[in-house]
Amino acid sequence: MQKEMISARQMFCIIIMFIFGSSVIMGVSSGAAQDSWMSLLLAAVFTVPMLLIYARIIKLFPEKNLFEIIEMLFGKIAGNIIIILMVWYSLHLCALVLRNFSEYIQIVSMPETPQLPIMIAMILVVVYMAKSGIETMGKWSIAMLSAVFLVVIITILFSLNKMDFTNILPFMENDFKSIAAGAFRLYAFPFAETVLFLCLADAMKKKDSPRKLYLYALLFSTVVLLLVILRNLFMMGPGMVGASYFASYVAVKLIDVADFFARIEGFISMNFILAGIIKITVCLMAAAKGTARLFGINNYRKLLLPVSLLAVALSAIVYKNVMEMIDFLRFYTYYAVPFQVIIPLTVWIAAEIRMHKRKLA
Amino acid sequence: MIKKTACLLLIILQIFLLSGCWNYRGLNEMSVVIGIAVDKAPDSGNYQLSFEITDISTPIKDKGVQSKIVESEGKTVFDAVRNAKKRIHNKLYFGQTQLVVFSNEIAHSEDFSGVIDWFLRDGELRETICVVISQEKTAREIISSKGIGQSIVSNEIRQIVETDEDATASTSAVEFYQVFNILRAEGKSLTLPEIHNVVNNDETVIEVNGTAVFKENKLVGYLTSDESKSFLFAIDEIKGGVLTVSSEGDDRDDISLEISKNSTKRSFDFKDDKINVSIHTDTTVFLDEAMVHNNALDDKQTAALEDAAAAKLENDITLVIQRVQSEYGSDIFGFGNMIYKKDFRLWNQLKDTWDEQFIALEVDVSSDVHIVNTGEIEKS
Repeated sequence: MQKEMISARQMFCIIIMFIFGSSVIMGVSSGAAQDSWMSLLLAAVFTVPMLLIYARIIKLFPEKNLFEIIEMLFGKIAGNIIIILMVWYSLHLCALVLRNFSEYIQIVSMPETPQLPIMIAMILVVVYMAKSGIETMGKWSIAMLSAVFLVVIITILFSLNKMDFTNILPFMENDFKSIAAGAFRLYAFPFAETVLFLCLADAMKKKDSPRKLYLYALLFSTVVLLLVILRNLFMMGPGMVGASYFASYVAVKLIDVADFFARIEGFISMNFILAGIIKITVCLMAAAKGTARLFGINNYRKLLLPVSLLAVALSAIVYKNVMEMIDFLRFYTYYAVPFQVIIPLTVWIAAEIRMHKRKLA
Repeated sequence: MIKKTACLLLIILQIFLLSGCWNYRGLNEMSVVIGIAVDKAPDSGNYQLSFEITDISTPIKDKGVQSKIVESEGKTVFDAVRNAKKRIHNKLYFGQTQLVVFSNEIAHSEDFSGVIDWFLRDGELRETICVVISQEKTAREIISSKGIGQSIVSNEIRQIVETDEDATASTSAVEFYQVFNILRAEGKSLTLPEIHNVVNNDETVIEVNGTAVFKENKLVGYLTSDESKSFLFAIDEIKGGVLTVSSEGDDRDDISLEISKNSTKRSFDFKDDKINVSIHTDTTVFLDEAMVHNNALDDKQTAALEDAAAAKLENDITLVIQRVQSEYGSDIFGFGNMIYKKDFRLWNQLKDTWDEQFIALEVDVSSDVHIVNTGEIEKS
């Protein structure tokens, strides 16, 4: 089978859509009230070194994915253990995002529909997308990213008349500690989740610089998320932002231009669906690729359906209710550390040592 | 070939399976609620809700959309909402709700942030609903009266309240999400529009009648329409309305100035453990009526008139601030909030004793009025 390759631009769009995933909807909660935009900027800064490490790993082993690299570096047994961990992380993340999605639909638009059909409808599309391959996903992302971006801009323009810019005052009321704590939360979700792109790195061309790609994607998504945070804050004020589960949705609900242009919150759901599909697809692909590696199966596409069923089953049991879902975000910061930091760091160090040895020899 | 046909058949079959909604609700199966009135039963303490729903049984062509009232009672607000189902076979639909009226008794005696909780929590209601306080004995009397311009009175109330700032400046409109924010804001108290019934052409209709003043979670009193105008000046929310002044300097006002633009600057300084607040208003007006005989206004007369208007404005604003300080002791002007936003460290020192400090606060008001035209008449 021919290997699929995608252009840097497509990868760029996929990464951005992935970062938007659930955060455009959840309104990027950091717990630092009107200072959360500072948390976001700080989080972006925290993320840079991690992204440099991810990029370095890709650079050292061009056209290989994380699982291949791990096996190469750590051998069969130790390698498989790490692969299992990474597969678990992608599968779990897949289930979490899927659950976010169905909870959102249930709360805001279909209270009487059970969540399972919603999840199944979503996962079928995702499996279809993953089966069509990363190339298709790349092209799709380019088209849909512009739609998502357009919606963000439109909602900002139409909410200008209701914005209260003093909502951002007072500056730095929260001490640095709580702003930094918020930044760490944003670092773990959504920024450092881009570690999963290491699993798809075999589709990147050798000549494209992964460092540039990661950093530009980070810059772009930070700017858009900043716009989203500020829109929500200026529209609703810190009290209401902190109190809503889906701050963006509520903020856009308030839009009302001359009693005529109102009720456009459906756009936000659209954004969520578009970006959510990409996020779930990336997670699913990573999980399927890892599983394929684990069992020595050549074509990961055969595994997409079974793995997706696992994800649906998992997402049905991960949380009891939406309160737990929001509460879990607090633990997620710590839970994600091994997968986002420790494993990549180990891989990187091992890779550098190996390269060094090879050079000496 | 057979495979293709089978696929096609399967796809056609899907049309029947996948179209439509999981839980379809047609217009005939729901009652669209436009306005809600929230009262409390005096004896049982239950919530009594009255819903103004659209009546689609009558022909809309001749008389427009008519409305009906459904009443229900329950232990909590939502309990009462569901109990309405006992009287009407359709489920109430809140996606189009425009207005919620609370009786003054509820606002007086209950924790207001608790009463409004359901309205914000429920996904069907919008956060931009207009909230008003009824000055009649019950809130029900407000939504059961007749609208003059529209047959659905809730719609009319909402539009009156929302356009009030531009034309009459007699109250300040607050949407539901803002109520939530203000109740949780630092150094700021809630105000809501108040509505009462009046007789107009032998029919009972509604009228906006100033502003209801809250302290923390409870209603403490009212501002009249005129006081509300000065209040709007003080919080920089005024966008229109009329200023009347006397050309002779006596009690009889004979000149009307229409407010075209206003900007209010507020600042504070902290000296010797005392807060001083100063308010400066800068207003552009049109002279729209002069009920006296006068010549074309020259510079001097214009200046005199402007001074008289400014002096009156200063006086009015000072009076309303003093009344709120002495009678209600509730910081509806958001002076505390201004301090919080500009200097939260200072606010953290003041916040525990803010109630007392607000009452003793010295507010320095100054006004500028500029007359830019005199309508179509040069002299009268």
